[in-house]
Formats: sequence, C-alpha cells, structure tokens
Amino acid sequence: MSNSKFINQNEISEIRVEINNALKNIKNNFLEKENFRRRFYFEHEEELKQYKQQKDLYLAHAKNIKFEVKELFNKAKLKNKKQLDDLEIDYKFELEEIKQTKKLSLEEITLTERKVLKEIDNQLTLLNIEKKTLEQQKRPNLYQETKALEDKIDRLYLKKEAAKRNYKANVIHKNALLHEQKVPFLERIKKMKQIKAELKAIKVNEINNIKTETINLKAEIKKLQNEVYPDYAKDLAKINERIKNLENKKEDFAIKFKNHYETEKVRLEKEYNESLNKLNTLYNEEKSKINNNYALKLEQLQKENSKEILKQRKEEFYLLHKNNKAKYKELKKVIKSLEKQYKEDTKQFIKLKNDEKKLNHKIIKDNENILKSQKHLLNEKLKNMEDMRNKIINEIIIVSKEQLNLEVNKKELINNYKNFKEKNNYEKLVPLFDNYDKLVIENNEIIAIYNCLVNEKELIYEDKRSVNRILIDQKVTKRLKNVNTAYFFIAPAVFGALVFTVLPLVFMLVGAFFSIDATNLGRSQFVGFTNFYDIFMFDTQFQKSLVNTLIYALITIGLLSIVTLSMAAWLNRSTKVHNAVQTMVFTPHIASLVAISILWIALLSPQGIINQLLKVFGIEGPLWLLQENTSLLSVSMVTVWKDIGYYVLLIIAGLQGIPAYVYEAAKLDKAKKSTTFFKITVPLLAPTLSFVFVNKFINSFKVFAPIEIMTNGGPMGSSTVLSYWIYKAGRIGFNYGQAMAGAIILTILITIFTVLNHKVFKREIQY
Amino acid sequence: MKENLELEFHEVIKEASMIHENTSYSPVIQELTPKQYKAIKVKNRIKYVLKIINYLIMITVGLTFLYPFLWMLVMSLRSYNDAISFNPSLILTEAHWGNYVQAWKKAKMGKYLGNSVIYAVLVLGLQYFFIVPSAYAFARMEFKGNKALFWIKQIGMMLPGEATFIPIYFLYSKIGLIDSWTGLILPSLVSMFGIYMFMNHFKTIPNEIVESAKLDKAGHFKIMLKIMVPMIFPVFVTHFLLTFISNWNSYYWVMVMTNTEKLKTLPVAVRGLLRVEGVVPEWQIVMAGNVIQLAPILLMYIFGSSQMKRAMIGGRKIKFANEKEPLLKRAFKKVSRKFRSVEEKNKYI
Repeated sequence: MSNSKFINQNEISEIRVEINNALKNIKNNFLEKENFRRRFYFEHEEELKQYKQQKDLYLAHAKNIKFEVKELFNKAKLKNKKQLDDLEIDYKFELEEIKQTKKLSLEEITLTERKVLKEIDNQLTLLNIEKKTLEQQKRPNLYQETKALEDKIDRLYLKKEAAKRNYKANVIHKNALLHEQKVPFLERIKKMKQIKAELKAIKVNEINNIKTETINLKAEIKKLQNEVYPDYAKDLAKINERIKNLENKKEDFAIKFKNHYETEKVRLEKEYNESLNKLNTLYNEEKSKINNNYALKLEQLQKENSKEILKQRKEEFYLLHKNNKAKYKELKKVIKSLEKQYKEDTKQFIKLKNDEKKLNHKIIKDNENILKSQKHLLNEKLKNMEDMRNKIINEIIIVSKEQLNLEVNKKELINNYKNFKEKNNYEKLVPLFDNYDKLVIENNEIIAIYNCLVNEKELIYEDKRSVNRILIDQKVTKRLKNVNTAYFFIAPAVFGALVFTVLPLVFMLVGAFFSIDATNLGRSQFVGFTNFYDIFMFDTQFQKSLVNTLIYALITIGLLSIVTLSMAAWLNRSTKVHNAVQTMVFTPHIASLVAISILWIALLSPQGIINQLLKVFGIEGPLWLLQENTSLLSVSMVTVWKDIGYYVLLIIAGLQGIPAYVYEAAKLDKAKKSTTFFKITVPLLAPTLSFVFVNKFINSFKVFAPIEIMTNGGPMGSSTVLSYWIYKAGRIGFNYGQAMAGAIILTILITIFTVLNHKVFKREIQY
Repeated sequence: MKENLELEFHEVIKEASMIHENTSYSPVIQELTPKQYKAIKVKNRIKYVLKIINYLIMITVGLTFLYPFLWMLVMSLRSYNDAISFNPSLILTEAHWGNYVQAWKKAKMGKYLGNSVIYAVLVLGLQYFFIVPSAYAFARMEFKGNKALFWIKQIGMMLPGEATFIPIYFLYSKIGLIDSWTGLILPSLVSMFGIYMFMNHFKTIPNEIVESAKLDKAGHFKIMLKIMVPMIFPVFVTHFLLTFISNWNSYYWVMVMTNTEKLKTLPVAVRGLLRVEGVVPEWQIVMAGNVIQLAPILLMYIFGSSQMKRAMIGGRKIKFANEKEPLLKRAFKKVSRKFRSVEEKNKYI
C-alpha cells in the first residue's frame, strides 16, 4: 500500500488534535478568567448593595430633613392651639358664671316685686268680689216679686195667641156657613170681605189691649229692679274708696320699684362690666403669654432650623454620600476593567473559534483538491494500463492465430508452441497484472476516504441541529402535556383576581401595621397597632368620618327601604302610565354622579329652587350644603333621589317573578291581604331583597363622589365619610399606613353588614 | 266598559258565594234588585275617579325626577344675568348657544371627550377576549379551583375600590402603569362582575347540546365560539350597555390613577369647570358642560329606554307595556317584509 504518495489521513487527524488541544487550553484559560470575575462579583456584591442602600438612605435623609422640621413646627402649632382652646373654654365658663349671677340677682328683685304685687292684686280681687256680692244683694226678694208679674205677661201672650186663633177659626167657620147656605160665589166673596174686616177690627183691639198691659207690667218689673235697699250707696262708696287706695298704692309701688330696679340694674351692670374687664384683661394677658411663648418657640425653632443649619445638615449627608460615592465608583471601575478584559477575551475566543472553522474548511478543501489531482493521475495510469493490456491481448490474439495456422502441423506446431512459450516471456506479464490490481484497490480506498470526509462534514451540521431541536422539544412537551387547557382559558380571570383583589388585600393587611416610606418600601418600619391607636385616639377627623358614615348609611337605607318598597308596590303594573312613570323615576340612575351632584349644588344653593319653593309655604329654608347640621342629610337625600328608580325596578322585577298561581291558591283559601303580603310576597321576595339590601349597604358605605364634589368634606368636617378620609389621608396627605388602617376598618364594616344581611334573608324557599 | 261589566259579574258571584257559605260548592246567582245595581254603578264610578287621581299623583311624582334635567337644559341656554337668579320656570326668552362654545373652550372638552371615547372604545373592544373564555371555563370545564370564582367575587364585592386603591397605586407606580391607558383599562378588562354574569348565562344552556357537539369532536374553543356565544347574544347587549355607562361615568378610578391631565376623562373636566376658586361659578357654562357630558347617555336612554332599564338591573326578567323591539330588529323585519312582498308578487305574476 503506497500511502506516502497520497494524502495521509493520520496527518489530518494529528493536525486536528493539535488544534483541538490549543482550543481546549484557550477555553480553560477563558473559563478560569470568568470564574475569577464571578468570584469577584460574588465577593463584592454585598458591598455594592450596602453602598446603594446607604446612598438611598443619605439622599432620603437629606430630603426628609424638611419634613421633620415641618413636623416640629406642626407640633408647636398644635400645642399652641390646645392651650388656646383650653383658655377659651375657661374664659367662656367664667363669662357664663358672671352672666348668670347678674341674671339671678335681677330675677330676685323682680320676684320680690311680684310677691308684693300679687298680694295687692289678691286684695283687689277680694274687694271686687265684695262689690259684686253687693250688686247681687241690691234687692234680695226681687225674683219672687217679679215672678207674679212675669206669669201675668205669659198669660197675656197666651191670650194674644188665642185671639189670633179665634180669628182664623171664625173666618173658616163663617166661610163654611156661607158654603152651606149655598150663596153664589161672587156674593160670598163680598160677604167674606166684610166679615173679615169686622173680625180683624175685633182682633186688633184685643191685641192692642194686651200690648198695653204687657208694657205696663214690664215697666213695673223695671221699677222693681231699679229699687235698691237703703245702705247700698254707702257701702259701694266705701268699697270704691278702698279700691282706689289700693290702686294708688300699687302705682306708687310700681314707680318706686322702677326706680329701685333701674338703680340696681345700673349697679349690677357696672359690677358685670368690671368683672368682664378683669376677665378680658386676664384672658388677653394669658393669650399674649401663650402667643409670646409660641412666637419664642417659633423663633427658637427657626433659629435651630435656619436655612444655613439645614444646609449644613444636608451637606453632611451629602458629604457622606460623596465618600460613599467615591468608594462605589472605585469598585465600579474595577468591575468595569474586569468587564473590559472579559470582552477582549471573548473577542479573542470568538476569533479563535472562527479560525478553527476556517481551518476545518481549508483542510476539507485541500483534501478535495488533492483527491481530485490524484484521481486524474490514477485515471491516466489506468488508461496506460488498459493500453498495455490491450496490446498484450492483441499479441495473444496474434499468437493464437499463429497457433491456428500452425495447427496443421501438430508436431511442428507443438514444437513451435513450445518454442513460442519459451520465446514470449509469459512470466513477465504477471507483475503487470498485479500492478493493475493494486491501482484499482488504491483508487477505491481514496474514494472511500473522500466519502468519509464528506459524511463527517454533514454529520457535524446535523448533530448541531438535532441537539437544538431535542432541547426545545423536551422543554415544551414536558410543560404542555401536564397542563389542563382550562388554565389557558382562565388565565385572565386569575390575573385579575390576583392583582385587583388578593394582592391588595394582603398588602393592606400587612401595610396597616407599618409606617410606610413611599420612596423606598424596604425602609418602612413595623409599628404594630399604633396606626389604629393613633386614628382612634387622636384623629378627630377620622372619628367624625366614622360616625358620619354610620349616620349616612342609616339615613339612606331607612329612607330607601321605606320609599322603594312602597313605590314598587304602587307602580307594579304594566300599563302605559305606570311604565312612563317608571322611566321617569329611573332617569337619575343613568346619569353620572358628577353631573347629578353638580346639578344639586345649583338646586340646593341658598337662593336655589328648593329654598324658593319653601318660601312659598312661608318657611325659611336652611343653607343645606353650607350648614353643619344639614350638609350630610342633604347629600344623603340627593343620593336617595338618584337611587330610588334602580331599586324600585329591581323590586318590581322580583315581584313579577313570583308565580301567579301562588296568589290564586291563597285566594282559594280566603286569606286576607295582609297575611298574603307577609306570608307569601315577603318570603318569596327574600332573594331580591337580600340583593337590594347588600347593594344598598355597600354603596352607602363607599360613597365618595357626591361628597367630594358637593361639600368637599363639608363645613368643619361635618360630612367627611370614611372613603373620603382614606382618599385624603392616602392620596393627598401621603399618610399611607393610617389610610390603610382606615381602609381595613371600612372593609370590616362592610363585611359585618353583608354577613348580617345574609343571615337575615337566609331562608330556604320552596314553591 | 267590558272590564266594568266583568268586575260586576265577579262581585255578584262573590256575594252569592258569601250568602250561601254552607253550600258553597253550588253557587247560585241571584238576580240584582235595582237598588243593588245602582250601588254597584256608583262604586264603579268612584273607582274610576280614584284611578284618575292616582294617575295624576303618579305623574307628578315622576315629574319631580325629570324636572331637574329639563331645568338644567334651560339653564344652559340662559344668559349670565338670567342664570344667577335661579328662576325655576322652564320658559326661555332667548337661547344663548354660545355657552356651549365657551364651555367647550374653557374645559378643553375636545381633548377630554376624545379621551372618554378612547377609554370606552378600548374597554368595549378588548374586554370580551378576556372575559368570555374564562367565563366559559368556569361554567363548562373541569379543573382544580373551579368554585373559587364565587368566593373571589364575594371578596371583591366586600373590598371596595375606595379601600384598595393604595396598594394598587403602589403596584402601578412600581410597574410604571400610572398615567397609561393599559393601567386605566386593566381592571375592567378582567372584571369579576362580567365573568360572573357570563358564567351564569353559560350555565343555563342545556348540557345535551354541548355533549352532542363533543360527540362530533368539537374542541372547547369551537363549542364556545360557534354554539354558546350565539345562544346568549342578548347578554352581550346588556353587558355592553352596562360597561359603556359605567365607563362613561367613571370618576373615582380615573381621578386616583392619573397624575397629569393627559388621560383625564369628561367627568373630571366638568368637575374642573365648577372648581373655580374665589369666584361664583358661571352656572350657565357649568350646566352646558354638564349637558355635553350627559348627552350621549340620555340620548341612548330616550331611544331605548326599556332596553337600558333591563340592562341596568342586570338583565332580570321584567315586563313593560307597549314595549318596542330594538331598532336593528325592527329595521331587519321591515326589509325582510318588503322582500317577501316582492316575492309574493312575483309568484302571482
């Protein structure tokens, strides 16, 4: 096998091994360097973190100095306020005492006057009673004396009546007589006229007599009435004199008392003014003292926290920060240099890799070229060999022809053949044939080597691809095969639940026990229940808002539950008018809360429509939103006005959902209307009612927009609600911990009421 | 009249049954004496009068709810001097349309209106891609934690947005979602309310239909899109209306989650008209802004009141008298009728 002439496979493999070894060495170097870099990072990670934290800390301190100073000022202010409030309370108390003493003394004087006046009045009344008795006893037997006369008058009246009756009877009688005598009509009338005139004359005479007699009798009675017993005038005069004396006394007393009262009043006012002046001077002095103290404190604080000092403090922190920064920069420089080195190394590595690739390509190409050239050589050789063979074959043919020619003479031919065999060196051909075989074998080997090389190349590429594919497939299939497809469907829901309900709840529950730093959450400190304690004990706004929410909820829910139930029962029919009224009532619920609250600011303003309407009935309306008593009530009225339509429609839908045959069955059993209402409609309405009540409670607890727009928390915080307080504390005041504590209280309130609602309405319904 | 006669008849039967209580199974109809007949007539007349009075009271009550809106419209067209007096009458002497222009310019309504529209369109367009599949999964598919949705919804109801805005604000500020459309949209895209509503309606569809589809080797996605969604199409309408109204009116969420004025919507702008400090607000302009803000929803309410009412109470069943069918359906019917008539004519020709 002559391998020396052709390319040596061992050589190629040796070169490859060398290159690979070099690469391995380089790789090892590279890895060592990387390991060193990583170790360096690992060792200095904590230092870097510390530097970062310290940087944040210093910067935050520098920022927070301002806030601290502000807090100090606020504390001083609060102290001053408290002192002033105490002073004012004392001042008001003393003022009221002075006023009351003045009032009491004046009242005592008036009381004595009233006692005297009462005594005089009593005497006067007694005298008047005596006078009346005297007047009654003018003539003690008057009644018995006049009685006979009055009887006579009565009799005369009876006589008069009798005369009238007689006249009528006579007329009728005479008429009847004439009728019996059958007098003709005209004559009868004439006669009747005559008779009537006669009878009338008689009657008039009688009546006149009676009248005169009665007049006389009345005059007698008057005379009797006017007659008086003899000492009457004297007695009357005496009593009148006494009355006059008493009245004079009364007037004198009144004048005297007036003078006395005025003098006393002046004296008391003087005393009052003196005491007031004293009080005022005392109050002013103390006030000025407190104010001076406050001013001194403020000056002190300002001196302590003057801008220069603040700057110095800030600069201290900044200096610390600078030192820190320098260290940090040094470390970073080292890291940067390391990274530069790393980059260079990687570049080198990549270059080497490329070189290797190029080398591989070169070797393959060289091999190919060599193989091609050798193929040519071999082909030429083969041709030569074939030519040789052909020549030999020709020769053999020629020989065989000669043999054939020489067949005739066998002996000669055999001899000749023997000679010919000896002459043509047949043995010389054997090595030639051997050579030919060798060449063929060599050629085959070269082709095999070439194929091997090509296969190697393809195999390298295929390996790379297959490895990548297998890795990806393993990752994907492992995860996908075990997962239910439902989880892809519910992914958004899970995301929503996590982000908007679960996470906030957890954060709220945790964050309420921390004092939170907005800039850096890591620096917030655990403080336990102090947030809750502060809110409940010191924050008057929060206390007010808590009470206000409860009041607001009670007002709205009471009003709504009464109004909506009655309205729903009233409007629960489906005629045209009912339907139109339902749409009218429902309109406010569709409009936004902003629009409606702006509308009602206009309606409830002091000169607004509602006050104008009240003026028509003669009532002076309150200031509604601008007054402390009515602000919360008016807001709740507006929200009730907005929500009525919604709840009415809900309840109507519930009422329509009750099947009609239930009522028919009740009718068959002759149940009363009240019993059907309480034993059929209410329990069957329970699910809708529970929905309605839960909605009402939640909505009334989280009311925000109307209060924010209409009252802004109201005059003197009379209408701040919990949600508004949370917004103020959290979004505007940046007091996150307390705001979250408030939010937790709100959620607790809502949960309590919803659970209560569920327990009230939880009855199993079957029909 | 027919009703009255029937009423009379029923009353007569009642009286008869009351008289013959012992033999109540064989009611005997008594003939009416003239006195009884007169009494019944008088009763019916009194009932009629009471009915009219009842209607009048009802209409006045309804007008108390409608009057403020009309007054607002009138106020928005008054001049400054007329508007100050708060005159309660609804009569206009002159219409000042310039108020609307002024309101538009003062509150930069063009920008904020665009913001509101974008907000509504984004939510309405994107929400169903998230809500419907999850609702379907909760209604029809089996997996662990299938019943958690109810509890999460309950917790979400008890946790009002007014309480949880601080944690969400923190989270948003960490991620950088404050003052961005995605942050504004996100909660309404994956709202528990919508998922719960759709789930309830998916559950009402009979199981046999789904099973037959499964036998034909339909996947979950195909069942959802080609069977379930067309069957509950009315729910889409109600949900669409509800979300549109709530988005158009949303005030708290937008105010809390935006710091700049880049993304603020109409209600916030109208609120800004009122917040002129130190000066009495010009009521005619404020009312004009209010009208602009309310107009789309009120117009929708005027043209489809029964539809809106049904949607707002969560798609419950309720009867309305003389209810018209929705506009699209009516138009479709008209067109189809015309075509039918043409076909019939062609038949005879």
